[in-house]
Amino acid sequence: MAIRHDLEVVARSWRNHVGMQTATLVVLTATFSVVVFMLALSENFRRVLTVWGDQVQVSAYLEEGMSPRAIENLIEDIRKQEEVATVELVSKEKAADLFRDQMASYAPDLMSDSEFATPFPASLTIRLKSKEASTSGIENLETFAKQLMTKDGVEDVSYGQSWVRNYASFVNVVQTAGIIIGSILLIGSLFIVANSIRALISGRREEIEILELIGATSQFVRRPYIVEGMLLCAVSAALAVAVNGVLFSWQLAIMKRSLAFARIAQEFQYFSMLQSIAVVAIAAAVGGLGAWVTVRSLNDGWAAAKKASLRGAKA
Amino acid sequence: MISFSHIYKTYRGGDSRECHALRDVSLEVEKGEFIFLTGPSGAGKTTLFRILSAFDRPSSGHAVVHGFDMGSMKAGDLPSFRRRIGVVFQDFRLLRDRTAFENVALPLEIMGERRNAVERRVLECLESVGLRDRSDELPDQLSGGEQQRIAIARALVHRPGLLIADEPTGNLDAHMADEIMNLFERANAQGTTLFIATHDQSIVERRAKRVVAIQSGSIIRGAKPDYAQVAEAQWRSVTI
Repeated sequence: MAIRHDLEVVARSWRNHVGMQTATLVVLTATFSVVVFMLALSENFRRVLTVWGDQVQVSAYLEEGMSPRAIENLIEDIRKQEEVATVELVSKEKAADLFRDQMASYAPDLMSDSEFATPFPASLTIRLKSKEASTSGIENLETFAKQLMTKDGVEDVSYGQSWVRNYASFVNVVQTAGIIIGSILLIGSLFIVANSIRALISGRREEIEILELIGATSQFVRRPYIVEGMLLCAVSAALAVAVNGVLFSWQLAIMKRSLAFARIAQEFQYFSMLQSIAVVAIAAAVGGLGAWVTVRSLNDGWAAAKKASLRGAKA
Repeated sequence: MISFSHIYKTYRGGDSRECHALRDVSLEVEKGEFIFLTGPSGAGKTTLFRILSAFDRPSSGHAVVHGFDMGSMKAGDLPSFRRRIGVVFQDFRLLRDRTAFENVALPLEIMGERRNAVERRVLECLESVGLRDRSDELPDQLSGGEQQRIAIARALVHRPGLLIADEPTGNLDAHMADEIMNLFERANAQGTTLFIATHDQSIVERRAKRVVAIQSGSIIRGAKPDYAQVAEAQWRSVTI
């Protein structure tokens, strides 16, 4: 009964203030669109980084002429280390085959060159258990590589991931900027809702007085405004999620065509249904809070009396 | 039902001088009475009405209405008190964007009554004020008299023990004023205590009811109950 009454009041308010409510909705939708965009962007950067993190490996190049026994011992030694997931030996011949396979399309003659001498030393390809591609993950990788360099038989170590380090820093910057911008916009939307509710209240002063005079509690008077704030933000956030979803799908299609070689387009994903619901719920909470800030001191049962006292009593 | 003892209501003017809207008002009203509060404009009728309806507080003195102490009543008690009384204003104070039905239903909705019970009772009240067929109309589509009848229906819909009206016929012609008074008499016959502020002497003279006269903020006549009327009201409430 109570929520039905509140929704009826909200519906009436929308009918009576279509222009103002629409303007508020548009501004809030634009605000939430930026927040949703930042969230989706940082979430996808993080996801790509995680996928790339899965591919991070360390190559330990072995000294020329190392005996198979010494190689076996080195592999066993490395396997014993806690952070190591797999160790694979890439012989000189296998390295040459891999090189030829990868270059086949660029230099077909290479495939048929029987005298092609491999320039590559034998190496160990090591994958670590930690797939975390964050800044701390890269630091762990560096520490591991330094330890590896000190081992007998290891001539050089390459983890070739300086780009991952740069990428991790970039993602950190994006996430931090996202949090700052998102927070500012959420606070902004709180003020937008608060102002919108304030404008509604000023147009409904008499209604509030009448409700008080016939026995409405403070909650009964205030609740529809809070519901209105929540609905305004929830609808705006739902629209923002939908608009961003459409734009995301459009951009993804373009990326799949133009960045096919990078194989990252398939890693991009938009919000799941659950995430979308969470975004709308958080927006509704922000709207409710904004409205509550405005109405918490709206009425104490003496609104009409106070107004009359200011005018001077009509005795 | 109502007990005022040495009530003062004082306002401070712009030049910091005190102005007594009510001075040393003592008044007793018993359950079931029908009272006219009369006096010229500026005599203090509206101030008394405002204190009676917990629309304002007395500056000093002791006022008890329906068991509530008006001087010390907390904000949290106001809704509970106002749900026990019905108030009718001269300017009707209806919500312009709600239909007659919705206006009358408000007190019951506030009290959290069930939908079908609200509908039944509201239609019953609209019937009693002769406006059942206008229930879907907005106040602006109704005449002044019809709006006042809606306001009365709203004041009676939750069966209050006390109905207070401030100049309820002030904006109406004589014929409509009579109709409104008949509605009040019917409510009184069903046990509701009536307290009506009016400066229209013709209405008062046509009805043999207790009259409380106020002048310059002081009661000059009728401060004590008319026990004959009280006995008659009690007899009616037993036989109805």
